[in-house]
Amino acid sequence: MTVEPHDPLLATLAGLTAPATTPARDTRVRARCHATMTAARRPRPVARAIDRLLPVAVLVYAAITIVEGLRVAGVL
Amino acid sequence: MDRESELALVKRVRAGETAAFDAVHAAFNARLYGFLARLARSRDIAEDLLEETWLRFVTHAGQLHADTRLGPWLFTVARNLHITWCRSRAMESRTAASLDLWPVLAPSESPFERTAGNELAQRLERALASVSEEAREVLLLVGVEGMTPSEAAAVCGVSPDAMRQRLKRARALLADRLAEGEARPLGHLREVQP
Repeated sequence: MTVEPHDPLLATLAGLTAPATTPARDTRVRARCHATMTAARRPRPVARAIDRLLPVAVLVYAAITIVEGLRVAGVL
Repeated sequence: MDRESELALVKRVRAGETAAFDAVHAAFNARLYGFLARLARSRDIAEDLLEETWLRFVTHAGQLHADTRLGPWLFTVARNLHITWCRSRAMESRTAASLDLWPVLAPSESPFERTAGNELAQRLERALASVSEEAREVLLLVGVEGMTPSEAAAVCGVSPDAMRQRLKRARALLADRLAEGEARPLGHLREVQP
């Protein structure tokens, strides 16, 4: 680990007073952050069966259309 | 905050504990605000950027690495948000100037220059506000926040050696500005019209 030499100018900077934030705004920001964290922790709703059925129906329909197309063309 | 407590806090924040967030907020809020306010030279803008920094923190809380160092992580986000804000401000200024619709305001006196308690602090705040943003962020991170040059380098995305060079230049610039202030002790006073 490198040891940095003591610098009086930087040490003086360290003594500057920290500005004060607005308490009301801090409270609001914290509440907003809490809400964000709580929302992220909440389990996501499970997809409904009807939502899962839709892509399956589309795939079946597409397969039937292709098979029917090939049958009409005389390939099958 | 020692490293052990920091790692424990990171673990709890990753698990989504709001009490852990409050502890991080209590430890870093004033420091981040001071950094942003001095960087942006405006309390209002600093408060907006601070809020956005905390929101980014909680949004990414679940993706933090177990060994994340909270200080450098938060200061990096704050710094990046300030850079983004500077870019948008520059764009607005250019647009406003080209349209000639409203005057582009010159940078005003920093709020800290007005409120700094004693003369030395006032001179320091004035000198700090007068240096370039690149120099100011280095002085704020290393001088005010007490980060090592290596930690500050991680925040600014440069190598530790480059950071040491930047720090050397920034320090010399600050010393020059302070010396100028001493040479002209009444220079900052405005003329009073009769």
